[in-house]
Parts: sequence; structure tokens; C-alpha cells
Amino acid sequence: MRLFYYPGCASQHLARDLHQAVEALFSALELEIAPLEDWNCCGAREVAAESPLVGLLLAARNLALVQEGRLIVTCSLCYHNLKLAEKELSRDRESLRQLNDLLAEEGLSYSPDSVRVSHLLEFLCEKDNLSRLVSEVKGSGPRTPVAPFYGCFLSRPFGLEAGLMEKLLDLSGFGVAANPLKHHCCGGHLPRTDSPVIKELCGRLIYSAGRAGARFLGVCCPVCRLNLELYGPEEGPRVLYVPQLLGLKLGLPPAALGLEDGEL
Amino acid sequence: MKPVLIGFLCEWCAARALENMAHKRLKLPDGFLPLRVRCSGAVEPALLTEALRRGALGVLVGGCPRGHCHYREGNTRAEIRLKVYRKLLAALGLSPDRVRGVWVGSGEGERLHREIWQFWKELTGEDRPL
Amino acid sequence: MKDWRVFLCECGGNIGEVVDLSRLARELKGKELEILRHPFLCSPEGQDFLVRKSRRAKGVLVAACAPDLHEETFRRLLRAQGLERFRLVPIREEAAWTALSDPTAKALRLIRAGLAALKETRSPPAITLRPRPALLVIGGGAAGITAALKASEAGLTVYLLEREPFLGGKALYLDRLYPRLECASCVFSPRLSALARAERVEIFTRARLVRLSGLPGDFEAEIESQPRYVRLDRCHGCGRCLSVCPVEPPAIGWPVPHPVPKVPVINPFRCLRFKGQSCRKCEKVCPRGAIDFEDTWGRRTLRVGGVIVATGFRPYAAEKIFHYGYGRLPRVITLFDLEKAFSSGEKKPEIFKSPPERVTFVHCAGSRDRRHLPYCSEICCGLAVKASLRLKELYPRAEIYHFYQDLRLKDPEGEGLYHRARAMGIRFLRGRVAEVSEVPWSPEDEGRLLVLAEDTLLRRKMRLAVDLVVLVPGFVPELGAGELASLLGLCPGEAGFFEPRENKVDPAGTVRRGIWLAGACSGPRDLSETVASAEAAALEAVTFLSRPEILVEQSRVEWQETRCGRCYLCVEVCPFKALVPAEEGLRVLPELCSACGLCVSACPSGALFLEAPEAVFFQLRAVLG
Repeated sequence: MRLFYYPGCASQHLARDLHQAVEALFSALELEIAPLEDWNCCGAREVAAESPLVGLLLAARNLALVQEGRLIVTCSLCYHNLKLAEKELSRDRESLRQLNDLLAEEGLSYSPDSVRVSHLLEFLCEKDNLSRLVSEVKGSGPRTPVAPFYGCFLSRPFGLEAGLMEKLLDLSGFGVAANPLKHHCCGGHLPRTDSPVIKELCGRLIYSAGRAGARFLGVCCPVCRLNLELYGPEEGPRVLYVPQLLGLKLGLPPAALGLEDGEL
Repeated sequence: MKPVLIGFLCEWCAARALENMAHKRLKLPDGFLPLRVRCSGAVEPALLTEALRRGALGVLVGGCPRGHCHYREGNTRAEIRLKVYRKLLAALGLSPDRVRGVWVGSGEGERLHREIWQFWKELTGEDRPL
Repeated sequence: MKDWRVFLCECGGNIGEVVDLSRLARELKGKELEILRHPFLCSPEGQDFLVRKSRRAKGVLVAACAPDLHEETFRRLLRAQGLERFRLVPIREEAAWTALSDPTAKALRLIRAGLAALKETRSPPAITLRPRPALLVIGGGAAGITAALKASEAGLTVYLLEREPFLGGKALYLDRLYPRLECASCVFSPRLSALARAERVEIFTRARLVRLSGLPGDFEAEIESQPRYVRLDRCHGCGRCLSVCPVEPPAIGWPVPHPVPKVPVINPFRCLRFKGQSCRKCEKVCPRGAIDFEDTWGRRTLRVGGVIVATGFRPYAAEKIFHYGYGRLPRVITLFDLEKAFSSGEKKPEIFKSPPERVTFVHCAGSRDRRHLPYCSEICCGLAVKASLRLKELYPRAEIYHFYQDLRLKDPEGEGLYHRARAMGIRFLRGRVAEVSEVPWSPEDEGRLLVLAEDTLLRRKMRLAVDLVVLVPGFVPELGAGELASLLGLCPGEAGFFEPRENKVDPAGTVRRGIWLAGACSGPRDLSETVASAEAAALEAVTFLSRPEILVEQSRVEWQETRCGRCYLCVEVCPFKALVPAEEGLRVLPELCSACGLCVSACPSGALFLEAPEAVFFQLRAVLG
């Protein structure tokens, strides 16, 4: 099975730390996963105003680059868009034909049956990877409580299996704080409209994690992290990416995970 | 001849679903001709063949939802039979998609309506008017 | 001689204005065919017209509405004058109402098909049988009890089947009744005791139907009953056994407000005796020797003429609406929990440890929502308003909010109830509740529940910190309704409720003759509607079962010896075991054959023959030309 990792646009600016942490995690677990060569935007919301085919084309090009194998995604929005393309195109053969005509100009072609999109959490929770992770966990330090946070796009419409993040955190030696708002919205792209709603949303999310006794809020999505950091209250649990948290337990230096020393 | 889609509808569920649809005044393609049968399980292969041989573009077999056959297992038998019949069509070089089964309850007029139009669209390319 | 007659019914304008009947008559015209037309064939004049104009005909075809409505009427009229060959083509449903652009052409084709079948095939033979004056009622709730009472008063023998150990169903847990707030048990319990006294009623508790076979008027029903461990025929309900049971709470008892029959039941999962100990305290104290630890599962076969289905409904499982937190958050309850708490008789039920300061009723929890119940259950609004009034009586200082979609308060008195509630300070806000959560909006409300909603009339967001959330879920069919439907061969609708034969004119009948529906098994109903529908079902049953004889049309499969290859595939497929291998080859048991045609379609050598499948061939050829 060929494995590829899809970094997504955010890895180039906003979420360089997430990207670093994922790469570090893969090498620590000795997983040979090549970043997808020549990847492009996943077809995110930015093109939603255009014909839906534009978004699908962007996503389909990435999937076509895989040719055959699996594509591991970390960013929630990328996951949503790639999964959407996967589902839509396996159903709508007509659109698939149109897109393949366009892709053929580059010598690419996409067949829905040969590429599978998985989220990093799903991938890590598979039996082999999980046992690898557990055997690499260093020391038995204190079980720092972490509140999981999935956000919208890992919950709906293509929801992950329940409890993946909890399983990873627990097995890597963290305490899991029950977070009733783990599937709530962080406000997404609301900052652009300068809406006051986002402060309320993020404030409540951080509060919820805090009242559950968490020291950290574990997220997977760059947008969630950005919103929670910018609009959440000053005090309260810190927001970190799940790969960063896992990396810490594997004994990786904070700098390799994109964390500044002072941050912890 | 204009394209014809024959619908063998079981009198317990599928034909009643058609009536339910009629009460909602949902329109069906002109070429769809319903014939009532006792049970979808009584639609024998010879009947399907006869329909196709005499020029029907497609044949729809409508029965009760799974587990609700009035004759215990007629719809299950119909389903199995259709599966085999499709293989037979494919082996003869014909399109297996010309026969199809639909399992609807008597109150599911809208679903039957959707299924019939979907089938009609696949057969003729003609979509339901808005 | 014009031997064949075609009657075209205009059905008011339903057919006449859509289908060009003159064109139809022109196109159909033939040497031996007479075409007749009537504005309403089902009316008395129309029926008269049908009888008059079909004299000396060989066969009659009527092009009108769906067979459920008048086929039987027409057939009976024609049979009365010795005319057996009759076919009905529902051009109203199949052409007039559903044809996209050319209903006339479609009707023409369908009538031609019907004519071909009429001319080429015979009509099935009919047998007359004398219905058994016995009735099986499935379900011992409000509907079943009413139907059983009415039928027994009219002289039928009634077998009442109840799955639980006690009769009464959901009505037992009602506290007050909508809209007059009268005490439910005062209204309902006299009926229960009337039933206990009624003659010709045999009650089976903890029992279910496992098989039904036979014909309308003469069914054979097999029932299975769970052990009760206390004998119904001996116990006289003194209750001494309850006080001696060493288990806490007692393993023997009647855990409902008004137990009928007043005979306790032993819970084998708690009773020490069933845990291998030697306790026999209840047995020793019983003056009548009614305790029977050896009681076992039982089966019995009943012969009945008809069946009334009264299985009722149950509230939708509110746990499934995840964001309302039922089952997860301690102070989120459903309306039915509240009703149970009220009817348990305690003045201050346990759910209100401290008086609630603010209570929210969440209407339509899961209703009118395509992810849960796509329909409106109609009666829950009234129940919720009623319960909130009761709550306000108990806690006058509590603030009560209703979040509703549309308030649907039926009865002329419903509106008055609403005004009373408003006058008492209960507030009504239109909007769907988005979320019920234990995470408060602001830290000072820690410990209370947060209700997020939108007031869609004032277009503002609402965030309420509340002490009690009462969810008002809609209704779904009672558990096991689906299995019963397949057992009886009834068709459930999209929501799983039983479908009546015809909603408006035959709400108690079903697609099967001799089986009727009572109460909420065919849709959510309140107590008054339930009773009305149960009486309707009982009336149908009484009328049907007290006829001196009924006509059952029954074609049966014919076996042609010379064609048969003795493969016995037919025996294997027959769902009713009506075909048995015999010395001469095959024997058809006519009383079991339902003429479904499965064997005909399975026979590889065409040795089995039935009129109906044959007719379809003729129709098909005629329709395709």
C-alpha cells in the first residue's frame, strides 16, 4: 500500500508547526510516508462561489496524483474537501468523466476505487500504528489532563469513528478530560466578517475544557487553533495540536514539534 | 413505438404506493405502464422476457419492503430472481440495467415516484419536468 | 350481441375532466363491446345503472378508482345477478392523476389490457363460510380494552392479548387529561374494572402472537405466553405475599398504579428462589396456593373470526437526539418521565429535589426533523401545555418557558388551556432549541443547564440558564409493531405505523379482511381519539363476525399431472405449506392456499396453473401491442 501525506496550504504559513510535528511524529514512529509531490489546494471554501466542479477539480487533482494508495490528511478542512470529492465522484460518474478530461491534459487520471482518503487520527488508531506508538512512549510521567476537540469537519458530515482522539491521548499517557463541547463549532471563517459571535463561541469552548480540568485542548485543525488562540480568553487551557502532544510523549524535543520552549 | 417501461407492482404494497403517489398528484412518465400482480414473487422470468421481447425498454418489479411480504418470502424470491435475471441479460449481451426491483411500503408514494423517474431517466435520458 | 361491457366512471371531474372519455369510447368501440358512461358509478344511481346495463353480459370491466374503494361493492352487485367475470381498472390513480401529458392514451392502454385479461380468463371461485363469533384483540391498552369491552357486550367471545403482566398500557401513567385536566385514573380505571368483570373475555398477560393462518372469518392464532409464577385462576389479590418478600424492593408485586388483573408477578431475575436459594415465604403465606414456581412458557392455539390490532405507540427515544443530552444530563427529562412522576401520586416527586426556579419545555424534540421523525405527532403540544400547568400549580414561583414550532392545540377547549397558561405567566417562545448543555454561557450559572435557542418571532438569540428541561418527543409505533406487521401481512407506512385500508372512509379496516386497527397503532392519538377508533374497530368486527355467512373469493392453484416433472420446487417455495408431495404426485391443500402464485413462477415445466398470473400475460401482450 502506497502512503502519502497531504500537508495542505496551511502547512506553508499558518500551521508550519503542525506540519513539523506531523513529520517529526512520522519519523519517530518510523512510518515511511512521503509528502505528496506537487500537491495543490484542496478546493477549500475560497472557491465555493464558483461552480462546484472547480472545488472538485482541485481535490481530484490531488487524488489523481496519488494514483493508487492512501492519502493521509491532518487539516480538518482538507479532510472534508478531499472526502467530499471522494464521495461525490464515486457517485457522480458524469462529473468524474468531465474532470478526468481536464486532468488528462496533465497526463493524470483519477479513479475513485484506487485512492482512499484517511484522517491522521484514523491512521494512527489502526492496530499496527497504535502498537508502534504505544511502544515508543517514553517514561510514565504525570497524566496531564487534555480535553479533546474535534470541531465541525471531523464530526459532520463525514464524521470520524467516535473516540479516536481520546484513544490516542489515553494510550500515549495523557489524562482525557471529558469535553461535552468537543464537536462544537469554533467559529470557522467568522473572523473575516468581524462577527462578535466568535468570541462567545471560543470563550465557551475554552471554558468548557477548563471546567473539565484540562491543561491542554488538543485540536487537529489549523483554523480551530487559530480561532481559539486569538479569540479565546487569556487564561485557561492552552491549545495544542494533537501530533504535538503525542510528540512530547514520544520524547521529541519541543523545537522539533514547532513549539517554543517557553510555551509549556 | 414510444419507449415503454412496464411496472409489475404487487397489489399489497407497490400498487398502493402508486395510489398514495396519485393522491399527492405526482406525475409519472407517459411511457410507464403499471400492471398489478398478486406478489412480486409471482413475476416469473418468462414474464420479464415477454415484456422485453415485445419491446419494453425496461421492467420494474415493485414489491413490499424487505421482511414484509404478505406471502412471507415472495419479495425475497423476486429479489434473488432479478439478480440472476440481470446476469442472464448480461450474458446475452444485453444491458442488465433494463430490469430493476423496488421495495416500497404502501405509504411510500414519493419514494416510488423517485425510483420510477430515476429508472426512466437512466433508460431514456428524459428527466422529470420541474 | 354486445357481450362485453365497459363502464367509464367520470368520478365527478376527477376522471372526466382529465381523461377524454369520448375519445376513449371512440377508440375502444368494437363489435362485441358496449361502452357506457356515468358521472358517479359508486352512487346509488350509478350502482343501479351498472346493474341495469350489465344484464346478459358475459363480462364487465369498470374503469374507475382504486380497487380498495368500490371493487367489492361492484363485484357483489354483479355476483348477485350471476355475473362472475368482472375486472376493475383504476384509471383514476393510474392515468388521470399520474399521467404526465397524455392521460387518455394511458387509460386506453390500461383498459385494453384489462379487457384482454377479462376475456381470456375466468373469475376465481368463491366459497361461503360462516364466521366464528370470536375475536382476538392484540394489545391491552386503552384501545384494546375498549374494543374488547364493546365486542364482548355485542356477544362475541374475546381473547385479549397483552405483552406486559398488567393491562392498561400507556394510559396508566397519565396523571391528568387534556384539555379539562380531569383525573385520568378516575376516567380510565372504571373501564379496567368493567373489563375484569366482563363475560366472554379471556385475558392473556405476558403473551404474544406467534402465528396466524386461515381465512377471514376463520383464523387460527397461536399465542405464546411467558410464565407469571402466580396463577391467575387462584389468586384473589390480597397482596400478603408482597409484605413477606425478603428482597428489597420485593421480587413479587404489581409495579403499576392500577394493576389489572390484580395478581402479582414474580420477577425471576430478583427472586431468591430462582437464584438457587430455598426461600418460599410468599408461597407459604398465600392462602390460596396461587404461587407456582414451576410455571413455564406456554403455547395455545385459538380459533377466531377476526383480529383487532391495538398495539399502540411509544414516545420516541429522546436519547437519540444527542444535543439535548437526555440520559446524559441528570436534569433533562422527558414529558413522560414527568407524567409518570405526577401519576406516582407523590406530591413532590423525586426529580424535583429542590424546587426548580426555571423550567423549559422543548417541544418537537426530534419531531418534524428529517433526521429523527419527519412528521408531527399532533397530540404532544397539548400534553406539554397541560403538564406545564400542573407544574405551575405545584411550583407557583417557577418560570416556565415553552419553545415550540407551531402550537397545535386541538379541540375547542385547547385554546382556552393556552390562554389559561399565558395568564398564569407561562411563556411561549417560537423557535427550535439548538442545544441543551451542562456547560454554562457564563461562569456564574455553573451548575444549571444551558438552553440555547432562537426566538424566531423577535429574531433574537436566547440563552437560558435553567434547572429542569422537559423534552417533548413525538410518537413512534410500539416495539414489535414491525414483527407483528409481517406476521399479519399488514403493510406499515413510512413511519412504521399500520396503514388503514382507506384513511377517511375506512380508518379501522386494513388490507386484509378480518383484521382491523384500533387506537394509536395507526398514528399518534390521544385518549379520546383512541377510544373512538377502538369503538369503530369493534363495530367493524362485530358487523363482520355476526353475518350469517361471508363470501370469500378464493382461487387456488391447479396441478397438471402430465406436465409435472416431480421436482417439488413448488413444495419448497410455498410459503403456507399448501402443497404436499403425494402418491399421485402433488396434492393442493385448498384451505392453506392463498393463490399468491409463487409456485407457478417457480415451476420449471409449467405444470401449475393459476388464473391471476395468466391474466398478467394477457395484459402485458395487450399493453405492448
